[in-house]
Amino acid sequence: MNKLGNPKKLKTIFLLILAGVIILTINYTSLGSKTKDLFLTASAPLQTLFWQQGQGLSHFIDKLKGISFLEGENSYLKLENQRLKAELANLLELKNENQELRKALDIGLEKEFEVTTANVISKDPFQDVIVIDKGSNDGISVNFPVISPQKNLIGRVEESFASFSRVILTSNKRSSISAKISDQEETIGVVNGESNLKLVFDLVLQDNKIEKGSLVLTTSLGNIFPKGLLIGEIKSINYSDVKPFQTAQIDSGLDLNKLNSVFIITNLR
Amino acid sequence: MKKIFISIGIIYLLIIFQTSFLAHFRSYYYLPSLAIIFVVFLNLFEKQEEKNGLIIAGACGFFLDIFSGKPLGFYTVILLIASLVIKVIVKKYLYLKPSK
Repeated sequence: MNKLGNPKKLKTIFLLILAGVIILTINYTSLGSKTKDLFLTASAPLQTLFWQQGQGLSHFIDKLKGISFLEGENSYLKLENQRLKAELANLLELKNENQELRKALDIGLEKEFEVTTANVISKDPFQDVIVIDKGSNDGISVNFPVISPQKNLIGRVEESFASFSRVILTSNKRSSISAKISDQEETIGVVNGESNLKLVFDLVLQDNKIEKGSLVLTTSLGNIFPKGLLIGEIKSINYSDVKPFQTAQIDSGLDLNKLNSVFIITNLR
Repeated sequence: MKKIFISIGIIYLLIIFQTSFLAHFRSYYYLPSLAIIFVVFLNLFEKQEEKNGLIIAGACGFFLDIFSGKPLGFYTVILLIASLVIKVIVKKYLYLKPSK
């Protein structure tokens, strides 16, 4: 007994324990809840203050922690964005190609010729040359005619590589095509390229009448181009009595900027 | 008496700090009750002839009961008994009697 202290102290201890037991007992009466309510009401302003401060600090720390995560997420999203842009560009390209093919089907291109679609991958308007993404692996050979989806003659394959081909335009100086005026079987001549997308209808006899606005079509002479492909429209006529032949300037109507896909005639049906 | 009131005030603030401020942090779930630690240290280092530690333990238990979901008196009794046990252990095994 003495080890724990004197009887007075022991009495205090037991009183305290008794107080605890009493509190535990009153817990089961309404007094317990009233006591809690009183203290909680009194503490509410201080608790609210601490709660708000804690919340603010917690959010701030979360933001700091989130920076490294956001950096990673940002770089991932940038990559994802690039990938989606590339995919979108690819889809747009496919859409355009689809539209071109639909146009071609509308004008019955596939009924007359066996054609292969190719995309233009390079243009050189100064040399009147384009490069397409189909080559000998796709069955493309030299001298295959190249036309637009509107059945306009663009040129012919000059050189065929494994997976791409170089096409010379009708306006290329190395290009020479046997042609005639539409609805005038007797008015035949040769369409020569003059570079810079210019064409001239040459070697037309003086007796043959050429009119401005007439359409110039290919003939089957030369065995390269099928007959009836549109080369262009007569823009101006150079008539001279002293020359044996008359010449005319042709507007091919070819817009290289809009030329994205072409058709290569691989075989006539 | 002053020491008791100051200690009770500190305990009250510690409990509110832990339940309202620290509750927003992950460490809250691993942190023991600061008020109980305070009471344990107070009883450990209190002079043998003083009994303030018991009163403070009782008050601490009471506040813990108020701010916890436990029935009123739960922590009060536990802390009073814990305080008493600490005092007995300190007196029996740790307290060095001054040599005569």
